[in-house]
Amino acid sequence: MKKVIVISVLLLFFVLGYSQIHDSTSVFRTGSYTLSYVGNNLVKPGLKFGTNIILSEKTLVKTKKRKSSKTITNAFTRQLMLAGNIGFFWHPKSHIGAFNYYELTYRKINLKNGKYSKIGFGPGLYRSFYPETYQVDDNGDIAKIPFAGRIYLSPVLTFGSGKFVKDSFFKYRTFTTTLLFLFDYNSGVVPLLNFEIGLGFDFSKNKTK
Amino acid sequence: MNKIITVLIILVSLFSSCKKEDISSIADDFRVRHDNADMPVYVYGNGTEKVFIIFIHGGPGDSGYANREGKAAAELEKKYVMVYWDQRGQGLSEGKIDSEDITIDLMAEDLHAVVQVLKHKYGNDIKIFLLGHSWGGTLGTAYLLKNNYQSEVRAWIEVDGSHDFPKINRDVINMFIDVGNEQINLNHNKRNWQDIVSWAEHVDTLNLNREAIIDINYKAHLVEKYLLEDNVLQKEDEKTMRDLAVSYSQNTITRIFSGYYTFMGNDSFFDEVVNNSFTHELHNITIPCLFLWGKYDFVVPSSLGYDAFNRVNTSDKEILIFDKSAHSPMLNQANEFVDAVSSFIEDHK
Repeated sequence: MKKVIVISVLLLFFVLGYSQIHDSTSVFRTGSYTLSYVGNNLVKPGLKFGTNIILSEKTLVKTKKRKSSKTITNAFTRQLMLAGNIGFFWHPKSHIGAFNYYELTYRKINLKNGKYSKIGFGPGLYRSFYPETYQVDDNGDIAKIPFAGRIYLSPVLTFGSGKFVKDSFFKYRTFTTTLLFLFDYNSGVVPLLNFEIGLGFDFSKNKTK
Repeated sequence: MNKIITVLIILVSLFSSCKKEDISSIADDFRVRHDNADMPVYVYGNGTEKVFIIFIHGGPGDSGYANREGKAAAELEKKYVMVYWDQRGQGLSEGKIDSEDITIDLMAEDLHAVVQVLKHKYGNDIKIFLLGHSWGGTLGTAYLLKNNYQSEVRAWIEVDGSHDFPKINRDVINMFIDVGNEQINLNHNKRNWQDIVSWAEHVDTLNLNREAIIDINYKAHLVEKYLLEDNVLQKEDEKTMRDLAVSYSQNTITRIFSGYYTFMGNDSFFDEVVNNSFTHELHNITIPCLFLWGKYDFVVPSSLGYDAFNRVNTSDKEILIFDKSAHSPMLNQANEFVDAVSSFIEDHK
């Protein structure tokens, strides 16, 4: 399991590195990274660092004619992204939860106002860290266990929205609802609900204007 | 700069070495790992008298820490140390458990592990009292009957607990009819009680399936609402900031899912619990016992309290019925509950 964790975190650095060298001509088609406040069940506080690369992109322009002979043009960019995320939250009186997950994300951007919505899914790992822990064995012997906790496979499902912002130190703002499914948690699968509010930053010199 | 750092380190070391653990105000949380389960234990209160009350929560599927809410818990913490334990597969307990391995016996062993860790951490001279509520009454009874575990604790306090699940379902149907007719005559929620009485008269208590048992439990909680509306029950105290802080420290989603997998969604454990009876073993309990019951408890009728009181093999026993309470007298009549528990503990500490 330790190897899986190491590989998982290394993969994050790969995504991070690739997103920085990725070349693009589109204003949106640049890798970015995000810093977010995580609220586990809304209120248990935490932080998340994420990075993403654009795998493919398509821009569509739709024109609609109205009775008043006005023509409305809507332009959208649809993107498929690979994102890597790492973060933690603090559950007072119980544990610290650390997570690392990857997601394939579909994002649709309205080019007129910069607003976007997204949906993603992918694999992940979750590790809980307990406070002081005592193990009692079959003979009744008691031993204190350092850094006790549990590791779970935690595939993720995310829904989000946000907006690209011009003339700002950040590239876009984002609000994401994340559902991590912890496998083999006690005797079943337990969902972990996180709400994330964050800012996206640009790696590219070709910043959004 | 190096000198300043050295002086600071010495000062910090001096202060930390002079620091004494303040047992008059214990606020501690840790986990007990036993047989693939990591169970949180929350320890709060006044340790001056070295009296530790382990609260065995209900359910199965509830949480120990949730029982820190309310005036009774707050008042008891002022005098004694309250220990709130999240049982295996419940509350914020974690682990990797095969659902078929969950048994009452294994959970009694979990409780034994918690007792051992408390003694290891706070000293063998601590005075442990068990307080089991609802399902916690079953689990506490299982612990006391196993091996010679009852010698590890000073006394047993059972609050609306069950030592015999089939008896609950037999007795509660009669209670629905008797109390229902009483409330109809008093013109209290007349239509609702008529429905309840009519339903109860047609329940075959000798052939109860899973759905019927769940339905009885649902109606037991439902009629508590009718009794509250008509002021037959004493209303719970308003939530305080302390209660809100306790709520904040829980995780409802995890608790609901874990609890479901442990009990309602676990056929083997569900069947074991609803068919469990310790009636013919209660004579093996010889330590002092206090039985506290709500008069209007439809979840576990007071007839079970009287039955347990009559069967335990000790002359040092008391039973107290709270006349304006239902399944949780510590919430309905908190002051009277604290007085009863405190008085019993003072006599047996």
